[in-house]
Amino acid sequence: MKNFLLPILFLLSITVYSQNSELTVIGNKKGVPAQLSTSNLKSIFMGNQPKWSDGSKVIIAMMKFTTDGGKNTCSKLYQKSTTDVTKHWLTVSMKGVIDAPVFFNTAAELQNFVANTAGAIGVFDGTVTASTAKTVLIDGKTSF
Amino acid sequence: MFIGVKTKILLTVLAIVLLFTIFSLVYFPSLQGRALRTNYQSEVQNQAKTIALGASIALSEQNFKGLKTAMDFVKENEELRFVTLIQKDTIWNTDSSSYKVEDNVMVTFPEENTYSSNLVSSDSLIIMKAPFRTSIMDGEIMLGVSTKSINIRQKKIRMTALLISGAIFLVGMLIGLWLSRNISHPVQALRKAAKRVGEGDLTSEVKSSSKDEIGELAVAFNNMVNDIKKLSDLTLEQEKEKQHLLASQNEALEKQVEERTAELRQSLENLQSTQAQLVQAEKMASLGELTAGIAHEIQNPLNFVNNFSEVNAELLAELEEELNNGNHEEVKQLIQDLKDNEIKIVHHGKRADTIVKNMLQHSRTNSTGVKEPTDINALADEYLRLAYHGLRAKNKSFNAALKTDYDEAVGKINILSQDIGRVILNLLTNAFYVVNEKREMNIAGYEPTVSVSTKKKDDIVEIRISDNGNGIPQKVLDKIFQPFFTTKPTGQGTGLGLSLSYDIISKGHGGELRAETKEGEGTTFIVQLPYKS
Ligand SMILES: Nc1ncnc2c1ncn2[C@@H]1O[C@H](COP(=O)(O)OP(=O)(O)OP(=O)(O)O)[C@@H](O)[C@H]1O
Ligand SMILES: [Mg+2]
Repeated sequence: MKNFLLPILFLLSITVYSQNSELTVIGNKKGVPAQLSTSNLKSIFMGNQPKWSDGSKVIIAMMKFTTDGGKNTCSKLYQKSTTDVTKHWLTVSMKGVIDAPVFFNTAAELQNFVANTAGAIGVFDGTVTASTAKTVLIDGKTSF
Repeated sequence: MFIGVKTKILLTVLAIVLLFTIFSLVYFPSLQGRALRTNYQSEVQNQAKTIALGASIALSEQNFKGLKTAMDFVKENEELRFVTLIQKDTIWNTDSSSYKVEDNVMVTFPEENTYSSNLVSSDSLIIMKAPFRTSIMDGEIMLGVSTKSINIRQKKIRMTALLISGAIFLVGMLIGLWLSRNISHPVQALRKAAKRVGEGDLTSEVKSSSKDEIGELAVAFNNMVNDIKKLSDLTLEQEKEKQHLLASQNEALEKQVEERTAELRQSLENLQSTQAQLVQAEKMASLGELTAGIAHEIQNPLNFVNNFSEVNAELLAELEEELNNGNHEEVKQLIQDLKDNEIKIVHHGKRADTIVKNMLQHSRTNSTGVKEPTDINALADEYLRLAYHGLRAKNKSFNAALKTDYDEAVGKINILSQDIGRVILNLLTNAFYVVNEKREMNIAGYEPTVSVSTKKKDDIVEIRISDNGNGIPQKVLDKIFQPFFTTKPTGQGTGLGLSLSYDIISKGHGGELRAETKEGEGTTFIVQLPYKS
């Protein structure tokens, strides 16, 4: 029980901490470029690009829209409500052009996933902790 | 219309086979096809539901993996025509009192297809819908699948059914043919045999190898034909025997008939001669009766002749004496007496002569056949006396009152006088016989009476001869005119009297003879003779 409670407490503290904080984009070492423009990033996150230039699949990772990070992502990246983004992904998933995006409850989990999944690109709020994933610069900045 | 057993069996089998064929050709495939479609529909429905579930999980939990997997699975189906995601928007009116649901197609796969949400299933397309509800949105998954594969499978089923039906039909018809041959052949053989038996050929036999009812029937038929043959042979033999017997019997009978006929002829001849003899005897008998009467009649005049002759002899002696005496007056008186006596002698002599002549006339067996005008009254009276005296000559004690009533108007009538005389004699003899019989019964106050009367009636003469005897009972009356019928003791009467009389009156004179009688009071015989005959 104690083992279970600790991560939850940790999670809660992060959520409170990262309210309205900046978003960071990380990518897997394979396939994902080191730099992207804002419009590029938006296009990728709309699901318009199924593959990277080296041919590996584009896999999108986001914080769940119930988390602050998720909400931030919607407002900053998509400039849409969480509902609209969800609906958007519903239609994209139906078309099946790209793999369905993966959603996470914690930034740590997200980073871990991106670090270990080829072609994966993720957006989250907070600091980069995973050493194996690279931070993708957006318009030359580490966060936006 | 004649339909053979073979045809009937074939038709029956054909009907059954056709039914089977129709079943396997039409009903079975349609059943299969429907089952196929139903299965497919539920499969498609399940897929729609899976997608709907995926969508609702994706929306509520932001987990799109399930949806993706479901979609990938559905997309693998080559028959898939489209998958459409429809958003159901609830739109309220301004005062929020009522709402309507608006369908809004969010996405369709493949994208080039656009389908309206109110599409329905058709023969070539199956459409299945599955709704989902989340806090984000309500919606529906609409799945369209073509029925091409089902149709192909249905075609296959139909082909198979056709093959199976053909096989069933073929096998059925073969069985039918075999059955009809197996049943109809022995039946036809039986029918032929029966026909031949009906035409009289009792040698026909049915060969049957089948070990069933028909085989048994054939055996029974053969037995029956054998029995019939035996029976008919027996009947034929019996018939022959009967005919033989009949023929021999006929022969015997003919012989017998011949013999009998000869015998009869002989006895008829005998009878005829006997009858002739009897008639002769009757005549003789009546002659006897007559003779007695005649003798009596002759005796009378003879007595007169004798007496007067004797008296005359005495008178002649007296005359001689008186002549010698010269007594003239006395002589005259005596001569006168002699003359008177002589007249009497002649008269009585003539009378005797007449009587003899009459007797001779009567004794003549066959009269001349010439009818002569005769005084019936005189004839009747003469025979009355003859009969009466004849009887009295035989029987001294006999006595009877005689009454006569002769009609003078009768005059003369053309008759055979001897024959009619004989009739009257017969009737009188019978009358006297019965009154005498009754007299001998000593009934107090009985006076035997016989009456004879004649009467002219227009063109006939009626002679009535009555007695006051005992009459004739009805039973006897019916027979009295039959020849040889008599109630007299044997040896006394011939029974020919009335029979001969009847013949004489009716045949000989065209007249009538009948009897009126009252039992115990007497009988009247009535003879009617026509003047013209
Ligand atoms: N006057 C009569 N009264 C009663 N019976 C009579 C009389 N006349 C005839 N009969 C009956 O008729 C019968 C036949 O008469 P018929 O004169 O033919 O024969 P018969 O007198 O018997 O014999 P036969 O005349 O030869 O002596 C008689 O036997 C008698 O019975
Ligand atoms: Mg008589």
